[in-house]
Amino acid sequence: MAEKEGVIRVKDLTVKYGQKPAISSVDLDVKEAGVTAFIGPSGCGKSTLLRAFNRMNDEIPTCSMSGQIEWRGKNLLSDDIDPVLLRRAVSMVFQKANVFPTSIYENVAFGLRIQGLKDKTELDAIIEESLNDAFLWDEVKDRMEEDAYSLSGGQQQRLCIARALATKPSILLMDEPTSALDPIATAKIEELIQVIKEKVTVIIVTHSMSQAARISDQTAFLYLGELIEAGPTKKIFSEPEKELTGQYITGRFG
Amino acid sequence: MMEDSAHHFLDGRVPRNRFTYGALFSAASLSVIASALIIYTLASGTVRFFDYGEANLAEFLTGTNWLPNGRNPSFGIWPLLSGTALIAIGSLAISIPLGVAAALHLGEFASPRSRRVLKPIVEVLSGIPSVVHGFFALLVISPFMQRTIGADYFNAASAIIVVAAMILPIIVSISDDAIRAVPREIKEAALGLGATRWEMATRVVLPSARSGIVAAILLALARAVGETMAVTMAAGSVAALHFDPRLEVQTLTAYIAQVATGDIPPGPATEAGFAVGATLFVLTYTVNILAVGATRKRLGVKRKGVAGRVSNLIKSGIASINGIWPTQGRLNVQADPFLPSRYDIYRRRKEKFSRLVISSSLFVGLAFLLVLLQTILETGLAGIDFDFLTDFPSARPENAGIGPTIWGSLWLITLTMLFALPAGIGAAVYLTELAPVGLLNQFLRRTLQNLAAVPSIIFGLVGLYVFSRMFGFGLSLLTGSLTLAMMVLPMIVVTTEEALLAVPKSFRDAALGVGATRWQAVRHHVLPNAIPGIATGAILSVARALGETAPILFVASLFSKTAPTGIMDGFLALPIQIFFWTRHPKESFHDLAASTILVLLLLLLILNFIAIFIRNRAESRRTW
Repeated sequence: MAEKEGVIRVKDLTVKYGQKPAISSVDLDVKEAGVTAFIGPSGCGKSTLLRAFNRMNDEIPTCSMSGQIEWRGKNLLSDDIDPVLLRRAVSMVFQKANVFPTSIYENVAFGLRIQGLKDKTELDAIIEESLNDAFLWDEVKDRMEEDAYSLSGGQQQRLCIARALATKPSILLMDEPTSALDPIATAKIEELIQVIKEKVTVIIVTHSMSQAARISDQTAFLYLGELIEAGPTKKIFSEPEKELTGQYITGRFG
Repeated sequence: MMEDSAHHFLDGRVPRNRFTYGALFSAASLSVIASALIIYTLASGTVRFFDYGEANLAEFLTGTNWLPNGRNPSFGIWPLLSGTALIAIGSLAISIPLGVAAALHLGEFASPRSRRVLKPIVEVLSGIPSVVHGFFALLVISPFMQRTIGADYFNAASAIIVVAAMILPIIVSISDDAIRAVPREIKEAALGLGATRWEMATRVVLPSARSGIVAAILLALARAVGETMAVTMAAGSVAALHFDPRLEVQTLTAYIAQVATGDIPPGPATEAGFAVGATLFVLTYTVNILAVGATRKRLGVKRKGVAGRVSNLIKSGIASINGIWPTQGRLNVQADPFLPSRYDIYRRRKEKFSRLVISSSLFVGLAFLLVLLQTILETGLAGIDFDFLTDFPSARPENAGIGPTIWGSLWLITLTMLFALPAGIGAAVYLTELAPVGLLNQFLRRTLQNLAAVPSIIFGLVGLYVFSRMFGFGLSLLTGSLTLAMMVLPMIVVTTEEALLAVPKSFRDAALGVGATRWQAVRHHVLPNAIPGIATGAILSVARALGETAPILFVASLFSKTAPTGIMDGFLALPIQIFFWTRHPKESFHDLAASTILVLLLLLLILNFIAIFIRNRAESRRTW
């Protein structure tokens, strides 16, 4: 919630695939407000870091995590955190629009139905609100029973955002949500992020530095599995402390 | 530009090997000839049947009495249809829930290690010949049914159970493929929204895989409808219009088998077998077409046609399973996101319980397999000695042996492979390598697919009518092996194609790039690398041919007492021997049947080990 200035504290986080570390000893404070962007070249571990926040890394059999992520007085990586409950509060949007093979309505209803919500009026209300937040309501309100695959790529990704917002998460993780979209669809999603950040903390992984500069309040730069620098976006892009950061944001590698 | 163009290397064409192309094309066309023979056999037999004037088409299709013998015969097919439906629906009712649960467990919950243990159970189950299932149904399950539900000696219930075991592997393996093909992304989407694995599996994976599951069910249905031996042995031969599993029923296939075993006098009753065969063919063909249609369907909400309706039924079935659980009134946005609500605790229990239930599904299959093997070992092992393996069949059980029978089977499969292997490999090479696109290719492929779905007893009718009578080969090894060759042809084509496609495309490109013709590329670079795969497929086809009973039921010589010495000799084969000894009223013959089953299973085991050995050795030696 935006009014409560909390922090998500990553301490000495190492994530390995098999024996190979994808990120090592990352320490990072993510503000529980606004938009935080993770940037860095391919393979720098930014998606791996993102997937640690809602324990999606648990679903990869060879993956192991050590260290801590502290949020609201708990260590999210500890065994007594149930990932199923965690993911309700820390929801996720993926790189590829991964809509379910069912109707538009049922896609958004999914997270609510698995929590046992059956009341049609309440379902309808939350679904409308979520689709509104995802800038999709006007385009789909008359075709809610249609196949979700009938939507365009950009619409599908906004449907995924609506679906993730429906369970009223506190944090929304976005893993390169616009990398498969054209500039117009991308612009729409960037615009809606500016609106939903009033309701939910957004952590976004992006390949595009200009996107990070446009939409984020905080930026963290990762390189080869290590956190190089983090801070307010303006500062990172205008006067970075590390030389590497400067080289990356000016496009000299990556 | 070029003065002496006659000698320029770009002029003219490299002479193509027309003979090779022609031979390979002929091999590929054999499936069309085989299909034509099937249709000709069934059509002409049906015409002969109606020519007797005992029944017209309307009476045949609408009549409710099937009394082929006696003074006033009656040929209404409904009792046979109802018997077939009872067995098919009954066995599907058992194998659909078990099979889908097992596939879900294998695909979503089993660790890679337990998958390696569990998958072979399914494969072993699918390798058991149907005559063995028939033995088990009649001599183990039927007595149990008589005691518990008051069934008759012959009853539909025992047949239903073994047919369920036979089609279970089809449902498991095709559903498993469909479940594993569900994209990882949408599974992650479900988990990312806070779904448990069970919720992910039932609400996202199953609905996404439903067209594959529908195809699996339809193929299983076609198999259940076409299954002959177990049904003939266990369900009996009284065609009656009822749906009581405790009583005797006759299926379409069982009637044809009855014609084959000579219990039916010549005349309209025998020719009726062809009309029944035509009906069976149309039924299984339709189901198969629907199955192919189902696999082509894209994921989506709006679905049309029968396959779509079946699939929607499954979807609403899944939905209603989810619907029986309690619900929660309002969305639970907790101040503390880590505190489970009462409903969350309930979800955790449901998750544990459901996973336990589906993981037990495969153990039902395992238990069936163990009881079957144990029974056969117990009854059959004592009877196996040197005399049994070398003696002639005899009317006195203490003297009887299976010497000529073993030789008959070995002759049979050798000849079958002699016919089927070149044809099957040639067809596969033509279809995948030389003419892999175009309408003709599509047509040939479709024909092969349909041929693969033809019930085995129908091949028996073709063998009898075409090879035995029309070509005058009589009741000989030649007739038997040609019949079996027709049946295993599609299997060899499919396995060879897989082996060819496993060879990287770059091998072909490399050869074509230096000026080889397509055939040269295949001959020198593709085929040599595909040999282990082709051999594996061939051996599995041999195993299939070795265990088949129905296609040779018409043409095996039941009274031949000596081993065949030439291809025109009569022959006995192991599955046929098992069939007759199992049905013999004298109980001591049942022990002989069990001993024969052991010999057959041992041969199948050896063949499978050879196939596995070749596959593993090729995989470990492969450098690409």
